[in-house]
Amino acid sequence: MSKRGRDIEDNEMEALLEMGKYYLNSLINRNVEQEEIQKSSKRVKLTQPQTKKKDDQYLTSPPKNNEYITVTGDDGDVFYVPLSTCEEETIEQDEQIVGKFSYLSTPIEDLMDEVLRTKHNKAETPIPSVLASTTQLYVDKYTPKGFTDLLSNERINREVLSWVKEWDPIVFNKPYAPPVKPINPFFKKTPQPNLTNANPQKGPEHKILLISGPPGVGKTTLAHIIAKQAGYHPVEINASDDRSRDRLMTLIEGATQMCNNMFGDKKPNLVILDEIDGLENNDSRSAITALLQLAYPLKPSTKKTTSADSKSKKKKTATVNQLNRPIICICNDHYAPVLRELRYKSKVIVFGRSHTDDKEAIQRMANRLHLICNKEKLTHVDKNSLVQMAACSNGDVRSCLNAIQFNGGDGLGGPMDKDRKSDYFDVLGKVFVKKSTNTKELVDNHPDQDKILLGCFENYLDVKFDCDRNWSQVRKALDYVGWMDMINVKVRSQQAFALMCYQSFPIMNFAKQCGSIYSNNFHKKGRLTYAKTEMDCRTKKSINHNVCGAIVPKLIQHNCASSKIDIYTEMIPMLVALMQPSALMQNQSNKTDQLLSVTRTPVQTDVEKKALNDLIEMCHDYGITFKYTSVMGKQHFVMDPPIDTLSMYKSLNAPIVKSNKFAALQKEEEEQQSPILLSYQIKRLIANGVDMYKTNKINSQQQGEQDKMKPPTKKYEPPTRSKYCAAPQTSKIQANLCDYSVYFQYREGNSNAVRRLAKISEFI
Amino acid sequence: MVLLVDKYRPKSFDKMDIHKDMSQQLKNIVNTGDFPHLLFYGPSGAGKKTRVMALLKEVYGVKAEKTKLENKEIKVGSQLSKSITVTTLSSPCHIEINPSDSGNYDRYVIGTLLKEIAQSAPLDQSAERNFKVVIINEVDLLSREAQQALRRTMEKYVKTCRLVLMATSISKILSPIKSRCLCIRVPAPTSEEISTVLQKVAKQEVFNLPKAFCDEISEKSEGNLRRALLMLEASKAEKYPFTAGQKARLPEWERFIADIAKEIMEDQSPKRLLEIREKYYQLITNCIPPELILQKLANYLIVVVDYDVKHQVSHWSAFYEHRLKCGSRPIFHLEAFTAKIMSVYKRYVKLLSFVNNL
Repeated sequence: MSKRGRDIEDNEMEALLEMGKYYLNSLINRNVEQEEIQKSSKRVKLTQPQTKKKDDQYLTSPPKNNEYITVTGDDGDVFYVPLSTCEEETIEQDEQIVGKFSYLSTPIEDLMDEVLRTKHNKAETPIPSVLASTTQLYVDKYTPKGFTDLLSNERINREVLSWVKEWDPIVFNKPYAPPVKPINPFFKKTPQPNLTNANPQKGPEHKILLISGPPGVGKTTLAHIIAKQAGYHPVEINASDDRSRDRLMTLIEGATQMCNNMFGDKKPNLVILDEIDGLENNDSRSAITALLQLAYPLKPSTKKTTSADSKSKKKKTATVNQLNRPIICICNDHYAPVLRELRYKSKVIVFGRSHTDDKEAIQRMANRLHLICNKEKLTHVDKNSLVQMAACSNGDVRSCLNAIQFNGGDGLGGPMDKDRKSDYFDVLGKVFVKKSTNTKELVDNHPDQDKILLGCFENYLDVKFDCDRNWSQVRKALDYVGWMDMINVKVRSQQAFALMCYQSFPIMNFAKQCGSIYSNNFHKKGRLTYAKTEMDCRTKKSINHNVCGAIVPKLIQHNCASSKIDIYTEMIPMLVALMQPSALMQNQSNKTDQLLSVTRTPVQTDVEKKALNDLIEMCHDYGITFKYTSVMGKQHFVMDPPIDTLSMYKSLNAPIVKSNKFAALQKEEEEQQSPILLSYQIKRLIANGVDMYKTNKINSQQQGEQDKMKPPTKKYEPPTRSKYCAAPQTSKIQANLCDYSVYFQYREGNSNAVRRLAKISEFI
Repeated sequence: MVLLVDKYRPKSFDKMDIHKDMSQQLKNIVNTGDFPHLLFYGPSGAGKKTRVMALLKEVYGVKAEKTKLENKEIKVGSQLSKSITVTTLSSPCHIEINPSDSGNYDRYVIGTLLKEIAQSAPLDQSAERNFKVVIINEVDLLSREAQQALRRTMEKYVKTCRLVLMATSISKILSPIKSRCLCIRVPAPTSEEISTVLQKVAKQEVFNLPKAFCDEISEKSEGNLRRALLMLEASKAEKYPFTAGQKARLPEWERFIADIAKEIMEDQSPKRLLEIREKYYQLITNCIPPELILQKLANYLIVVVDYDVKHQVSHWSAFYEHRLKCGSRPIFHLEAFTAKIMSVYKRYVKLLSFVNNL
């Protein structure tokens, strides 16, 4: 105990002796742990019962609910005095007895101040309606005024409060000086031994508190109240302020270093950065880093940009390397990319949407709403509807209050529903259930009705039809869809947005035509799919389009076709067809054999050789080749550019043999790769042949022009028989290597090389 | 080995086998020393491009054949902030562009590229022709703005360049443009003409082409010579020597559509419709124009359905093709068409069985 503290107590004891001897012991025995403010306030509280001389307050057995103090009288009797039962009355009482206590060492005015402040903090009246005026918003009118008013989760409240309390050694390091005294930042370096708190002076581990949670649950209110509770002056910086990096830092620095001693409010500041995730992305990084820099100044070297460096230097001279005021940041989504760094370096407290599943919380909220309704004389409001309202608002107290105020308590739930977006699957589920209610509202509430329409289109054929009338149903449904498509084009091309009001018509028509009693729970069974096929189709189409782009120049050069459509519909399918001449397809039958028996050349007869040569020439002329790649661990030759995919249709090429499941799978896989049914070896021969042909051409003629236009050919040249790799490309090393029948080209830095076992037979 | 189509493309007017009198007329035009802007139109594979190239050769000589591909950067957008790449094929005396490839930016391509070419007079002043030729492909696919842009340019730079426009149909070309051009229609060759060309090619390539198979190809080619030659070559790669009763090799997608038609006839149920939708998606993915899908499908259907349903098929195909052109999501209309045909056909079958029972 400090000397000063004892002084006060001694003085007080004198006073108390005058009034009654009972309390002497009690005061000495009191275990003083709390900080000074609260202590003194309690003391005043204690004085009160004795002035009132209420005998019933001295209990002979410990009270069950309240805190109490054990008091032993002179004669050894033990009494229990309940604590904190009557703060409100205390003040009034105190005011009356002020005069009598003039001999207190501390001027009674000071004590009064403190009492008032504590009273303010601990106000018990849950809904102070003193300021009630008709024009005020309920939200403001009934905003919690004290810690116990808070509707948010007790645990969270405590957590925040204890974090703020952790700052005490830094902020209030002179416990007995009025906490209002501006604290010199330099003071921190030589802190006085702390008397009340045994914690070292370094303060909390995390210098920044990050509160996140959905809107309307009371994050900002919590921060403000905690700040007041802990004896701070909250300084709020929110999105309405200018929040460029420089401005923000000046504000924060100002708030953390200075004291707001205007108007006699002499509390230290606590900075509340509201809506911090709303910081703009471009400069927010620097703003957030600057904030972190401020909080954790020990590692200035982490800064990278020069501007930030100069900034931090400036700051170093300005601040003394430690943040000495708590900063609370508030955001809706703590996973926002902007906050990534901050998230790791600060204490994060998350308001879950606990209200939806936490019955107790809903009940608490409903109780509060009910209380407010009573205060506002909205007596006709039913408690049950309030519970419902609390539940459907997802714990958004603000919106609930607004709804109550502007509806005057009527038709609760209406405005809340309007605000909610309807879920895609919910809407579809409704559409496909016969005669389901309020489908229209749900459809209208969905932001993207186009998507809903696509979803309907995607799913309507899966719905079981009421058997008989099915075709007229389908026809009518589709009729509207087609009509809507035309309208959409009009809307887009002529900005005829007035027409958009018809958007829900085809969807409702789906509901009318295809709604089925059978499709109850259709949605829950997970049979509805997301409308993605159309989009997939579009993306694939554009990919194919680009693939064609690779071959089009060659075709244009040959003057084959002038329009794209001709290329798509005639040239490419036919080129692909020409890529598999029957002559080379004959030894197709024993495909697996070929892969193994590499010693046998697939091209033996003259016919085959001619066909192969023709094919190689053609491939060269039209800029097609086969590229050696490995797909999913398997080595393939893939057409480059892969125009073969453009001529690939499932269920047409090679019906799947269902004899063996694995074989079927494999076959399917192969089909996925390419509809070209050439064997691996032939593809290899073509690939090499094309290369050889090209180099020959370069060597023999000086026709560089034509080949320049060639799309980049394959990178990796698999070793083959010397016949087909006789003339490697232009490099000299390769020319030397050419004497050997086998060579291997090593490409440095190619990290995706496939390491696999290779048999020597593969190289021969 | 180049494709037969490219190998046997006539390089000059004298070697042309079809539309001989037109060749003569074109030759006459060139011989007068100058020619106006030209607009060639006609179905694809009729020989428009061949004629234009022959015309260029007639005007400039072999110089016109030394073509090279070039990629040009063009600034587009309202503030010319974006730039796109345009592929052009050019020789010293002509340039060929395809502005419709650039989609909505086609008018910038027309505006900048054409001006750039037209403003620079050929260096060789002494040459007999002091103008360049600009070939613009697919004029009928140009946007309205692009066509308007073309209009003024045509008049302004008539001294330094001549435009040769190519289109499959002139219905979508603005009439002011039509009136500024000499319009030349290149009709599709008849199947006899195609047959003779095929036989000639077979003779030069030294392979045996039976008359029956030749007729089969020319019939399937739909008056498209390019298609006929490609089919001939593909069929030959598929199976040679040709046997009696061999079918001409059609492009994969056409066989696919034929399958769809068959499936529609087999079963008319929502389940089948769902399967067919999947196939439509495949076709669209492979860049087959949806209009063409609808037309082909209707053609196949008309062949197989009974006489009483034929007119319905054609009616509804026209109806849905119109909708398809107005809309932006082809799958809706393709499916609607299929559903319509299925329902029509089912009703017809029911009626038929009812009548038979009577």
